[in-house]
Amino acid sequence: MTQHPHGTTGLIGASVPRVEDLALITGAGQYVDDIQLPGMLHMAVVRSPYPKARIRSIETAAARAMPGVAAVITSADLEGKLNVVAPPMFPGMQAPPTPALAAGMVYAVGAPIAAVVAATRTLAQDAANAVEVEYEPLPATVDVEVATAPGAAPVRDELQHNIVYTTVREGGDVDKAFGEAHHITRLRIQSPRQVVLAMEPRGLVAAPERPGQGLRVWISHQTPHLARSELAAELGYPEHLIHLSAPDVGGGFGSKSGIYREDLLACHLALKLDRPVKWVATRSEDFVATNQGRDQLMFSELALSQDGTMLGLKVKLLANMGAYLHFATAGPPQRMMGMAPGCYQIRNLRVEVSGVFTNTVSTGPYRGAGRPEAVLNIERLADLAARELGLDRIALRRKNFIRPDQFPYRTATGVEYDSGDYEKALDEALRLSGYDAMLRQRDERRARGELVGVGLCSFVEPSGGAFFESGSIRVEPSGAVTVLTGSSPHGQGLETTFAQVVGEKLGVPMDRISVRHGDTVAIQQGIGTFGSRSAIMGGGALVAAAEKVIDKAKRIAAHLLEAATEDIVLEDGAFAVAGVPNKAMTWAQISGAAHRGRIPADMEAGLQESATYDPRRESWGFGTHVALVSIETNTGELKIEKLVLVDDCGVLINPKIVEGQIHGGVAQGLGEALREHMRFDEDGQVLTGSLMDYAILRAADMPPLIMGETETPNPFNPLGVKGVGEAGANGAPPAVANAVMDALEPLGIRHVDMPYTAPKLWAAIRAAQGDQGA
Amino acid sequence: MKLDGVYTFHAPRQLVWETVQDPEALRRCIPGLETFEPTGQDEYAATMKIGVGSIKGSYRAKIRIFDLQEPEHYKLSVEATGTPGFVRGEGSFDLVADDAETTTLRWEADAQIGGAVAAVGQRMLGGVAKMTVGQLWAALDAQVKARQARG
Repeated sequence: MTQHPHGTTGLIGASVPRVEDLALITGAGQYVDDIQLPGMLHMAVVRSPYPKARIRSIETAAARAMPGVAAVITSADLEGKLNVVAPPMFPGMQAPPTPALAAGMVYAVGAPIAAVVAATRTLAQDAANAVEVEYEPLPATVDVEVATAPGAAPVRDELQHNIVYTTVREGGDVDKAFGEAHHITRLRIQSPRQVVLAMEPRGLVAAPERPGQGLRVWISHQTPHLARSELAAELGYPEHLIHLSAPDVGGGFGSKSGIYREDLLACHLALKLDRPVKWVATRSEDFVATNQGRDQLMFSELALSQDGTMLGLKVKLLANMGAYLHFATAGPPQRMMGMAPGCYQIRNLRVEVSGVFTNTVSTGPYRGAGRPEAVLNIERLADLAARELGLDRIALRRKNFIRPDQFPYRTATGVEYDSGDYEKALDEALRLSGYDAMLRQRDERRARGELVGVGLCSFVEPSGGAFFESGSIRVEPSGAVTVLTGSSPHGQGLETTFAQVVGEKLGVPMDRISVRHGDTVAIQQGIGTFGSRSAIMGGGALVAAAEKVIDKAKRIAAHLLEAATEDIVLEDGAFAVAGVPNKAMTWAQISGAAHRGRIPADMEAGLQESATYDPRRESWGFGTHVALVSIETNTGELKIEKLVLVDDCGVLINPKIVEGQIHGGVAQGLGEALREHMRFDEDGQVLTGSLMDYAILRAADMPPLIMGETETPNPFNPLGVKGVGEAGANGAPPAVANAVMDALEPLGIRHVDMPYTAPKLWAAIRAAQGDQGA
Repeated sequence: MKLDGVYTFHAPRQLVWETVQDPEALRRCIPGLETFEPTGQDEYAATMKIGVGSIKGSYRAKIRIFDLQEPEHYKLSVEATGTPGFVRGEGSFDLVADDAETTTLRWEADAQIGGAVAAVGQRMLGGVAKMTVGQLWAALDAQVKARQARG
């Protein structure tokens, strides 16, 4: 690891230790739950135990009479106000508003029915327990195929049908391609629903400011400015009077985007009672009150010629969105529109995506947000196609890869991939994994009766693109630098990454730079962190701001040195006339002059510049992951013996942080592949509502990771970077899935959905052995 | 959740019937019972404390006994709600006189369970339910024996 405490050149590309970590690992982080205010009240929420029910009565008198209780509210107190409103992202989208407290009907387990505020958290919870609700339970709809069958009962009374939206995109001549195909590979895949489980559950503190004149909010969130806008609209409170901050945020993974019902309730109660109100979800609440991920059902057909050329692809996708739509619930399955063909040239493409209401907990973006499903779909199809055609799976991939000279490559549905060299990443992964030797080993062990499989996944990873991002660079009179980024992080290490970027551009050492974020007053309008966007977007904005600052500093230097601006160069963090380095001026001297009037007459004082960045396109990272697995025949227990990850995310700003991002993504991806499955019974009851029941991946389940990289700079980004935050979750699960199916191929098993729990694999093995008359 | 079971009482059927229908005997025998008040003909209101794994809490229950065919058959419905969730179910009970001194009670029940008790305790619910019912029969058996002893 290289440290650059004083030097500045080479900051980009150095594994600088994260400046955030000392505070976070010594307990000095400041999370929402650490915030204590005088007179602060605590909110608890009464939630529905039914997936669908009519509320016959709510009795709050006993709760109101309990010690320390300041208020108990139900929907009757809200008079129809206070609704979460999902933006209508797609034409014809059904997006009924979600009342913060259920008005007459509940449509999912966990739906808030009453809110209680009291002097302490436990008093509030006790009072919430004392609220008596009488329900008339109604039959619930859990399954997307049931929900979309003709004549299905509406999930919510106000719905005409259970489709949130359907979008279709088609390119080329799909019917012709299928008509001419030598072979069609068909597949039905269900991606398991995963619980996001950020280490810090959702929460906020809302406090009235200067009575009647403002609302102060601290919220565990990924996108503070967007949160404030949505909060203002849904509270009916002036946006400019809300001062919202995201303090340290203990993970979000997509779930801490948008506004949830509890957020509205806490703000409403704080304003109503003129007291600060805190709400932090318990872990149990987090299982029913926070968006969950995945849960997409995909039906696909891949048309191929005899030699394995991919001619056409049809995908129909049903995405389970739960009963209530939040800000980004509708988004993730749309990824299939751009990503369906994966790394391959498929000129005839039809993709149909439907969001579906069910009486389950809401879904939304979760690390990958539709990417892992799209990768899983095409990569399982590729393996099955090779198997069915009797072709080598690597050769089939190579034959169909988009070639490096075809970039920027426009897919059949009009999406542009910016750059890539998929074969290079594949070759590197094969080399690093010792692929051929691994196959020989597999065959030897198979001959001994073991179930051993090798699988791989070549994938694309689009990142950045949505919204703009902002950055400001303020050179203080001392020459120290304050960086304000709109890209509010929640664990990504952006304080380090962005200091590296700005340090390198300005020639200022990192210990003279502080990166600030997450506050709607301190920070200019910005967006936040999601979709692997920050290095691209936040980084892009800071490069643009740095160029402006440097430009102004050069003009000041020219003025002070009585030279022409064009002759001024920035070298080693100092400005000088080219060729006259001994008369160089430091940032402190330049900035001092800028703040003390020693500037040209037509120049504004100060040395602070802002920029926004919006490339209006996505970056397409890529990679190949390879897995070696074995399955214990008698128990179905799966072991990942080797996992090799080759990722290409363009230029690496901080390789150690990139490695950490891939590690985290892999851990969450292997959770999906091996263990994690949020389950509801056929009546809609939650079956996996705690960490005792929901099998989140554990440290012992993590195999050692063998990591490699190729570097294909992004030609459309000033830093040459692409996103990487979701790569691990995109590539690793399909590699494991293909390896597991390779292991089971000798038994004639064609496909099993993730997660590959021991009972599931055991049952598949037993069923196959039965078929074979064993 | 569907459950069923069999319990053998070494006592005449009529005595077993009288015992299992006696509110006072039930009050003493239902595990975790805290209050048990009649609210009408064969209807009771109860509060009880039950723990399933880490999910412990109080439930308010409405219990109704119906379809009485003395001394061989009855049904019982329960609607219980509490902080850990809810249980709604119906059970059917048949008493068969194997001989003059032996009575077999066969029961089956279908219950819907929701809330935290379902979300967290699911794996243990069947076991806990069977164990609780087993405790009930054992306690009622003791009542039967006491009555026999009193003659």
